Amino acid sequence: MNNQEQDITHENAKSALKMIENSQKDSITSFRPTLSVMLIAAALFGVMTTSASYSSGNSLWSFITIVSTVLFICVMTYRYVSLRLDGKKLKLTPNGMKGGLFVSIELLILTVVAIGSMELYKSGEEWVPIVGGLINATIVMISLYYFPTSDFSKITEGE
Amino acid sequence: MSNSSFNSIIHAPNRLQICALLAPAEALEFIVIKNHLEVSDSVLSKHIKVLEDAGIVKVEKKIRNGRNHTWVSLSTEGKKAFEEHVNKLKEIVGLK
Repeated sequence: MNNQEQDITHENAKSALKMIENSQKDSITSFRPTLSVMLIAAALFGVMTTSASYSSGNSLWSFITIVSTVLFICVMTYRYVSLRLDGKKLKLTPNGMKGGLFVSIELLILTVVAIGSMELYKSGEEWVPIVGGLINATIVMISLYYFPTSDFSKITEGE
Repeated sequence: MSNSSFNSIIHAPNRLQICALLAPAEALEFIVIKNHLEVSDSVLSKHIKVLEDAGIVKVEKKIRNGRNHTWVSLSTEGKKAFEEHVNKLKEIVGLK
């Protein structure tokens, strides 16, 4: 332990950690998209899930899937570019193992919901794709709001 | 092996905040950090220079629309050093 390290008191370390937490919270919050962007992105992802399930043998639903996918990519690109113009570069890959695991689990859930909707629709459950779309839209909304940097560091406002 | 070590360069309040702001981002512009810290250009430049000299941050200057834009990001070593410093603080507080 060096001299400076010995000088760090419990209180000093505690206030340094609080300072770090606040700065990280501010930084992460600044990457959060506007409510309209979050709603559009979530709605498009929901439509993608639902239309992909209905698309089997139906060209109109296939067309809606393609359009919603393209629009979703456009919205996410708009978000990236506008952040960059504001002087903030968003990480495209998650931070470390924890972040990677979080994104992998999120993608797995989205995929399972989408494939599950597709399969259940094929077996005659016509309402399932709508529920699947709503579930995936909610996941995207929560993810963009609480985890805008794709890191597993949830921001809780007002703490 | 312990993955925590105290870093006196990072521990200075403004530098600690710079590292904390940069950690969740790929890079931030000088002006964004300045607005958050509410310090003058010269004070921030001085802190960033210290961090840059220690290999903790990388500074990239770019010209866009005829204007200079300075991007600051944590280097790989900087990310590790910051993480270890946070772990050390948690150890002191008794969170680890």
